[in-house]
Amino acid sequence: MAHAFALAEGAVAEGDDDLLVSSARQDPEAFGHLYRRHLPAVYRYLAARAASPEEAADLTQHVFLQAFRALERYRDGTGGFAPWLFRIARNAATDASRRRRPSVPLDELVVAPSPSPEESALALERLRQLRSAIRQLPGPKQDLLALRFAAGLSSREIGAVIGKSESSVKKQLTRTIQSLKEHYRDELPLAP
Amino acid sequence: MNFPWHHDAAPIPEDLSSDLHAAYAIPVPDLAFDLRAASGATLPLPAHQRFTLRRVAFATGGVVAAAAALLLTPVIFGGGAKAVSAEQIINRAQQAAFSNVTSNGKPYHLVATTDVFQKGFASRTETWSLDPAHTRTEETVDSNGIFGTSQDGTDFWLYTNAPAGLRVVHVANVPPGSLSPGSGVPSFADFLSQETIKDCHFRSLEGTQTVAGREAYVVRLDPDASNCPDSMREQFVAQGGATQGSTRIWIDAETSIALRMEQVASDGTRGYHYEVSKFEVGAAIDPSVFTYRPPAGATVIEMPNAVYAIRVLAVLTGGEDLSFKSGPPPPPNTKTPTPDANAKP
Repeated sequence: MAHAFALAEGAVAEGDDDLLVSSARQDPEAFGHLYRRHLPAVYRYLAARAASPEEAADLTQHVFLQAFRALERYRDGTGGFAPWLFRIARNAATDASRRRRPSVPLDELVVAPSPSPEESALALERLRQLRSAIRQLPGPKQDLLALRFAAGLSSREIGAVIGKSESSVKKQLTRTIQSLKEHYRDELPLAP
Repeated sequence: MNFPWHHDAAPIPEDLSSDLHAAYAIPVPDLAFDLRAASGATLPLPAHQRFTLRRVAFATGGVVAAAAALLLTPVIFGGGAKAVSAEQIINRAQQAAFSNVTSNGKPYHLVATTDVFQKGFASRTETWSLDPAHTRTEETVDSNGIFGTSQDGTDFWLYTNAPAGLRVVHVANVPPGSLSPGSGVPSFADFLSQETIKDCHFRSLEGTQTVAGREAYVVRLDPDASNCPDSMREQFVAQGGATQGSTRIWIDAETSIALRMEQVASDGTRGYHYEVSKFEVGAAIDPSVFTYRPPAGATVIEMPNAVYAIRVLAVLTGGEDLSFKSGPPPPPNTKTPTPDANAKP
């Protein structure tokens, strides 16, 4: 039952965002396909940058509303729909952060660290330390990680969102993860 | 004996990719997009109102959803009562498990057994919960090993009697709300959250059954590779080319507390079974239950916060050694309590 639903939902191939945009311009209800396709990535990205799940939910609604209303201005071949949508999301998150003190409540978010309860304790602790290390990174680096790991964007797509080249994004990501790794190693209690 | 902390010390991975994916594996709520608001000039509804809206029926999606609704007839419960989706039930169960509070805010007392067939061990768990700051869970593993956690609104305790005598970690004056769910302690909530990751499972509602005298929704989870992130696919969808089996969870209709959970491998082998045998909702709980009193002779470690508590306990019980490379927590202060203290509530 659920399988049938999922197949129907996924009937439009991944690369067909532009087709869906064209459909949505003719028939606003077709925007639902774009919404369902991109909701998880947009919400995760915004949740990583918002102060609370409630704020992330509000921002998500705001972003899709903005996208829906600006659909006529979207142009094919300018990096793709996802980067265009995430530019809206990034602006919304930045605006929201200006209205409050910076806060990334990753600790409040549920994660799945390991396959069984008896194996989860240290994995949970490790993730808490990792989140703590992420919180100590400068805002742009946190944003980069959220675009990559919460939104699941490629380096090319991230480049289109933040206005950098693909190679520049790759370098920044490498440096960010390296500095995170060093910080992470320093902070965590290690087995001898 | 298989205690939660008796596994290899978690090494820091060379490649942080999988940890970063896990750190950002944020559950996505069932958010509806209000097309009427989008089409008009009105502002979006506040979140608490939007969550109550029915999902807007979009063109093809609406037809498919209608068909799915017909197929999912068991979703409708209680002789015309409002429909509840598997998604909503799972989300409520996760919230209840993580907060240790029922979805209707009632205190409870619960006794459950767990069988991990693949690893050959069983445990009995007893939980008392008054509110998020007053909870106690004590697990007895293989009939003799005890592992417990307790918090009474100000203090937090973590204790075990294995393998070499009672060891207790105590954190005093815990600020309200500072103990995040779990606080380094493995729990059924963790298990529930990782086994119900939305993107890696199809969720379907099979109907209701009675468990421990309570009406429970039966939610089935099947592996789904279509949206599962690569970093989690091996763990949740297929291992060694074989598709993982299904999981069923029985969730109390009134309180959203999970009453039973069963994992069956694709070849029919039982993997994990959790079953609540006693569940008292609205029970009068003696507040002293939540204050743990270490017995005479117990080694008590005073810690400034709960983050490292599980790791310190691991050292004390021989699970692993500690070596703080830099920025360690303040050194623990070991003491032995007076002989007249009590071990159990």
